[in-house]
Amino acid sequence: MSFISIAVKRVAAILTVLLVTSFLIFSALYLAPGNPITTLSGGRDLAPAARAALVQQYDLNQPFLERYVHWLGGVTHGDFGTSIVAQGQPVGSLLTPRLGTTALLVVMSAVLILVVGTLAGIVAGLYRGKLGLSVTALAAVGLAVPSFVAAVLLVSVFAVGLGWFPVFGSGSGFLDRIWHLTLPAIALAISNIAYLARISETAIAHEAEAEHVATARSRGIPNRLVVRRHILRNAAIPISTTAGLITAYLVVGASVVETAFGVNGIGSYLVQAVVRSDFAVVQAISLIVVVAFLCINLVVDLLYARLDPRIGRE
Amino acid sequence: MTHIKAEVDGLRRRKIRRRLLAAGGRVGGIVIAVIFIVTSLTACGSGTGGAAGLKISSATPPATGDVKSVTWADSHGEPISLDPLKAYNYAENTVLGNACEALLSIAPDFTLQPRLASSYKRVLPTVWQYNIRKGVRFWDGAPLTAADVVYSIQRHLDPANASYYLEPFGQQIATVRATSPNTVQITTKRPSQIVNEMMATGLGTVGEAKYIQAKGSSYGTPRGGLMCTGPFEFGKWVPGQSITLNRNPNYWDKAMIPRIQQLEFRFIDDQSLLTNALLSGEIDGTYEVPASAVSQLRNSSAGHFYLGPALNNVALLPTLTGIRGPLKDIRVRQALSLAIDRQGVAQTAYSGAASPIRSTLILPIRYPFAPKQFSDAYKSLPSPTQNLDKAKALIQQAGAENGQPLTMAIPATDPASTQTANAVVSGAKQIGLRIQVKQVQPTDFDNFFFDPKARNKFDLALENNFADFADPLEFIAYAGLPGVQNFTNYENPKVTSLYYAAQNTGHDQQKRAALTIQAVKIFQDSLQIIPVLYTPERLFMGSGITGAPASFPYLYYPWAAKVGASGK
Repeated sequence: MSFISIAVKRVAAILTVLLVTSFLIFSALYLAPGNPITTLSGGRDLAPAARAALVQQYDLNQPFLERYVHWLGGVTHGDFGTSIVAQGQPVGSLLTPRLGTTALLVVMSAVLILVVGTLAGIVAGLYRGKLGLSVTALAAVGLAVPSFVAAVLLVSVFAVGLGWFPVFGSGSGFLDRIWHLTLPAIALAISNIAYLARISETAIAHEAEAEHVATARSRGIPNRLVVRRHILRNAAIPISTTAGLITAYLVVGASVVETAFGVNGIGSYLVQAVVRSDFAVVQAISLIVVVAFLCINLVVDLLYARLDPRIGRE
Repeated sequence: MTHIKAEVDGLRRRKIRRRLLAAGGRVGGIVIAVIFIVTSLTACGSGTGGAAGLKISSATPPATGDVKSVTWADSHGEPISLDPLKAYNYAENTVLGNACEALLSIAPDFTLQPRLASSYKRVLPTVWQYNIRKGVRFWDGAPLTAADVVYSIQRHLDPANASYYLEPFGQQIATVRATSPNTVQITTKRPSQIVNEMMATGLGTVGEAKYIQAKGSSYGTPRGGLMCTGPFEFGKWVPGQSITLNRNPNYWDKAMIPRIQQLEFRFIDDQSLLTNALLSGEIDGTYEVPASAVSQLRNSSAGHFYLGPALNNVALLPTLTGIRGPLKDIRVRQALSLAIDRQGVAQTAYSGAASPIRSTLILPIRYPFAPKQFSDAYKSLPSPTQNLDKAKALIQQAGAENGQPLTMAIPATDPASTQTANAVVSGAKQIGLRIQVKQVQPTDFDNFFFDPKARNKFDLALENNFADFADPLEFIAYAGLPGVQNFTNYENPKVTSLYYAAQNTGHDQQKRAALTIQAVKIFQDSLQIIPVLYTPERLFMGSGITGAPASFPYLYYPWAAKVGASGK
């Protein structure tokens, strides 16, 4: 099977999954407690005229399937409906500026995780002495630090204490954004770096003890080549699987960090929308998160085929 | 009008006005909890002194110079809308009062002052006339007319517009009409005093009729903006982030021309985030400083913390279920009130920024009319000192010791409410009353004010309350007369007739105060509401700025026009 046909198959599978999840997301919110009219009215008893106007404006009177099809049709054209809380503003226009912020945050965090996590794993996996042990110990500590705790510590030390970074906000302009998102990205990355480091360490240590590595060494192949071709390449599969999963979860984990740092991204917006019963926004963000998750998985799958030609051949 | 308010990380509630605010603070609950542990540890060491006599003053040092830009926190999150129809909450009114003006305004000393109406008078028991100020222009240059005023008020009265101000006070208005190009007459269904106070709120807030009609439902949103007469013009609104107002150089009130060129409101309802942003100087100031941040900010070199007069209080509200159960016996309610260590709660939960209170209707402030009568009335109410022996005796007389436990609802994720609840429970335990605390999610807690079924699942609710104006009639309208927010279905013909008599006193404020006080005393003696604490306004300003009045009516006053450089 060629690389292309794998890609085509995967994309077809993704579209199917998307269709199913879109239905689940839509129906889940349909069944959720809370009523959009209550949100709109602020809990008051509305005059019949006011109630009818709201029902009309937000298409609340159509049957379930019709609403789903109507919504899905809009989504395929990039129309996610209108926000109830934001007084009828299109959801798309509310999401666009926030999407960029979250994307940048996730990318910064992912780069940190991949670079630092893998390097730490390599060090710990190859050098089993004091250096390796201290990396392992650090990783154990890092694993125990959830992002919201990291957020509190980072803010008190680097923002309030030293004043190097801002306490909150997303910034404007590219460099200002990077500056604003540095602490959030670190907070989001810490436990994931530790996790990836542990996975890499195990994979590398496992490969380093494998028979083919011993054979290679006995044949006098230089250590540099043994590490690169026989250890790292073979350890790359579990590492890339984990890295892919971690990156996909960053999109979800961003909601905690964005809330803690007051970053105006889709993660914190999702949480707000859930509390305010802003259904159209919750649906749109849920769908976007699913798409991001699937895309990252697709990239990882395609990477497999490159890393291990056997996967392509099966 | 009187409201009952809950302050739950960024969520506050009034009685009728439902205040559903952004989630940030609430969902950041864990973060808050962690910060809270840290701050409460530091609070232990920082010996707060003002337990007995709080230093409360609305005055802050006047501004000495202009300042290019100020970043202020909207500590209750992003406004739902700035349209006065929907501007019913802290988040909205913190911003709106600086941009849009009403016929009257409530000054920092609680007095009702003319704003867009240069004067007003009662022409008949049911008719008030407002003379529209001449020479006032909207930001686009168009002159303010009586027609704009009539249009703005009438919008609230059309049920299809679903104004938050319609019930119960908008409904008291029969007609609004312009009797000349500069006079507007409001006719109420029954004689009313409160109609004037309502003209200082969103109900009396004036926008340009032509502009509002053109913008339709987008008026007051990021897309539609505003068109008003206030000292600051609407600049831009970045959803999820900020609202920027710009100085109106042509403002009619020359005494109130802003010193700030650009005023940016950032939406931060997360308590820990807000505290850190204030400490680091990224935010210049905020009203409604979180109770959990008081000790940190009070000792900070980043700026000044002020306590000012307010109409805010914490109280225990029996529900209908509660008042039909063991709390039916007034001796049990009296005992519960005597069991609470209010002084201790003020210290632990509010770091000293609170004091025991005798009533939720008449508050320990200087009233704008008949101040001596009100302060004498307050002093004549029984003092709320803890007295366990007396409380135990009352419980025994009532035969209520060791009965079924009572359930008390408190808002989840609010550290101050949790601590207050703990004090109530431990006091009650010592006199033989068992109370179980049930944490209720903020959105569900909110429903208590609109849905008796929701609140009647509990015997008691621990509430943060407030009134809008220094007029106890407002609270009586909600809690003492029949209505959805009357938790215990209290009804007393004497209170009702005193209420209506006080509403019909015209310009005779002594008589109005006397009738009001009589009604309050009857209601207060029945202990339908158990008063706990007075919580003054908490204001923080960074060291670079000063001038904002430390006073609760900032919600109905262009307070930012007073803010400027501190010269430091």
